Amino acid sequence: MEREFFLLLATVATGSGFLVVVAKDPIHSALALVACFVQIAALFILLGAPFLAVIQIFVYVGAVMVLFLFVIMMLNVRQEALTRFIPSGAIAAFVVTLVLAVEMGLLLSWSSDLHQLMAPAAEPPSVNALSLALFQDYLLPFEVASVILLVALVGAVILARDDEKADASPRRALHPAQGRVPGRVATPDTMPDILPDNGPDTGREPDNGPGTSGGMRR
Amino acid sequence: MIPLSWYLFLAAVLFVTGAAGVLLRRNVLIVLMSLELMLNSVNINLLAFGHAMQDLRGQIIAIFVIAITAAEVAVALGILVALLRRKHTLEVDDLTVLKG
Amino acid sequence: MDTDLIAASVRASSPEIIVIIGACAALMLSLWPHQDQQKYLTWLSLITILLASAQTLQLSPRPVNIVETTYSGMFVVDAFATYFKMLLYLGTALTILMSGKFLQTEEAVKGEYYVLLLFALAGTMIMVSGADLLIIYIGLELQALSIYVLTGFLKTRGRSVEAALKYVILGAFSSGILLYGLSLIYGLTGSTQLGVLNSALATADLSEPMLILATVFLLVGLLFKIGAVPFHMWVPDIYEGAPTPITAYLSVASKTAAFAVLLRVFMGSLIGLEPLWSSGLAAIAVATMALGSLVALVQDNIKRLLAYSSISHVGFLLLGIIAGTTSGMSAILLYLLIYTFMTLGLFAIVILLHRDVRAGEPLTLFSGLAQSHAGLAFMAMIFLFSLAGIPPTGGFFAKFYVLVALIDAGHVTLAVIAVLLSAVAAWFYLRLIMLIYIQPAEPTTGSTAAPATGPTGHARAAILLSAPMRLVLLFSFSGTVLSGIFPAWFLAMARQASLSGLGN
Repeated sequence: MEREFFLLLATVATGSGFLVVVAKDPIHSALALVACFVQIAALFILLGAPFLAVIQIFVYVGAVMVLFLFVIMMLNVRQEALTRFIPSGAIAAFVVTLVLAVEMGLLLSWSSDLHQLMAPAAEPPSVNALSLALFQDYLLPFEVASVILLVALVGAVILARDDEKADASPRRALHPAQGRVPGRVATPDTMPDILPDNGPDTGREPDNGPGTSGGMRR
Repeated sequence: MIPLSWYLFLAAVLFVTGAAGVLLRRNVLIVLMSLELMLNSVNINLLAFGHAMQDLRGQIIAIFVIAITAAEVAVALGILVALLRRKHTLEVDDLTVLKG
Repeated sequence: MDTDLIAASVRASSPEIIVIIGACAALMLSLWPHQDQQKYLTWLSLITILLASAQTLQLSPRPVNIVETTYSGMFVVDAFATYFKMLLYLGTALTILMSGKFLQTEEAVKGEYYVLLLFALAGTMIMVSGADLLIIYIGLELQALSIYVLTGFLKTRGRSVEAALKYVILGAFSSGILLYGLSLIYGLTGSTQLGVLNSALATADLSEPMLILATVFLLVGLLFKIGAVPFHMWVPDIYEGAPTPITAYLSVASKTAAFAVLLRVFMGSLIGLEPLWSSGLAAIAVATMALGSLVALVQDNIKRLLAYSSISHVGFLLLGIIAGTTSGMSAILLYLLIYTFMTLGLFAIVILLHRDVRAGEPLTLFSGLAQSHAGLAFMAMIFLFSLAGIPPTGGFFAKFYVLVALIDAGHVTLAVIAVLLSAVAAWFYLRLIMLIYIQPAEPTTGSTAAPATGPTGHARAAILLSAPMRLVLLFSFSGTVLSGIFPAWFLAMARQASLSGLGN
């Protein structure tokens, strides 16, 4: 019965993964990715890691994908979704991907000792065992990972924060319709404030037009 | 029951799909989502090997990968928000002020 | 782990702990709206770095061939790590000193800048001390995340945020590849600890396909981090768009840390895999030097030029890996030290000449520098000579020792190619020197920069050498000159460090 489960999950995962890359609309892509993550979580259970499966759902589906969806909805990107699929100069990238796929496929199939069957786990590692290993042997990665999360927090706040309101500098007075910090949850009544197309571009610092000197040519 | 190579093949397929998305798509959000796909395939790899070797280290490494990837996504989306305040396009080519 | 082990581990990682505590203190200080906040933050960061370096020196093992492994084999304190940490302290401290005035010009003075730089330093320190692939990856990500944010720090400049986005995509992609390689290595050997890998792979069958795949992915992931060809895709864009002090940090400290990892993993533990990657790496090294040297010839933006120049230096460094053995590694370590000095010095001068991001950084910024500021022009000339590898500056000896190591290992053809490509690369450095000394100052062309003041065009009188900048220039200039006059002393230090790096 495990084989059937695996084949089902793997097929759906591959299909939705393909859909992520192929879809024109980022929303479709995001939903396909959610489906893919759920399949992968189920695969984790097959692999004897129920804790990881729950973590996968919590973190990837529940946090990361929701964040993606927030950003997609907030930035109102669906207009820009109907675009050309393959960028120019993509032949090289396509060739690289093909070569990568072929190489990985061949090398994996030639590996001799991978084709043995895996015994089902005698007993999947308990959360107890996982936590003992995590806090004893992997103490340093654990501590540093928490520092990473702090840095991500600080970084995301700096980047997404709307400075012009915090700064009292008159030189950077902004269009009044630009509203509050999107660092908050984008509830429906704050969303209209942060859609980017709510007024003329403020026209500050035209440093990204073609007239700027400073090296845009190779 | 299930050969290890099946899991590795699945992971490889997802990895290549994700890499194709990063290299070939122009829409930045889809590029970021393809990156997530790549990193998930690594998790499948780790857990499959851990299961084959009856070793829980694979699971622990996977936990770290999940945590760090989530942090990376947060920063990437923060940069995207900062960028899109000023422009209204998501095409990687159109975003190019810096040529090359 | 019992208390003794934990205490020993904490003691061994005390420099990192000092830096992280300093960063958290800076984070809290940055919330305090005071006029001199930036000055206090700079002082705090520098004191943190000084304390950490003192602690590192105190912890450094004597005699040098003692290796202390802590945190259950994750973290190692040896001469290799100590050497690299001192290098990273130097790079980060000079970057912090360079940033003060720059941020004020850009009106981007925010306390979090120093916080993130300190966290990046902590990340690099963990990378170079890591004895397990997992902790190396985690240190790498800590550093990378901080730098992603710092690259996009000038949020109002489109170039800066765009560079950050490109860097995130590139960095995450390469991390994905690195992790895939890590997972395959884990699958092959059952562990990610470098010591265990060394013994497991010593008896490995080198034609095992999965091993080849794992090595290739691991190597490619790391090559992305140092910007080797053909993985250098967006590096010039990132260097051009990032704030100039961060570009300096990227090209010096990030590369140094990535090289430390490359050396420890590929020359130290996975040395048994050498037949797999040596010829590929040689081709990559030559291609990197070639591309860096040739494309730099047609650049007219100073930061892009320096990006390609750093690419060509990376190529040269990769040759040191191919040379192998202690002499190759010590040559690389010495090269990285001298590279830190001369690159940071040149970037300091670029920052001094910097007017406004809107004006960009065209090469003409350097024109006529000799007429207005002879001292600065002379320093710039020495830095450029050093980068080009002209004796008696440090840069010459850096390249010299790498070439000696190459020839000793029998790769004479590679050495000849390296010399030829260096000669080609020297041309664009000399072009800059010509601009400085021979060209008269030109008015900045048609941009929205500050209006020309008189016949010199640039507001030359406005180059104010603040005390931090003086310090930066002093350190980097003396480092470049001293390493050219007494190279053997520096080489001895590098040799000690490499002995322990290889013994892993």
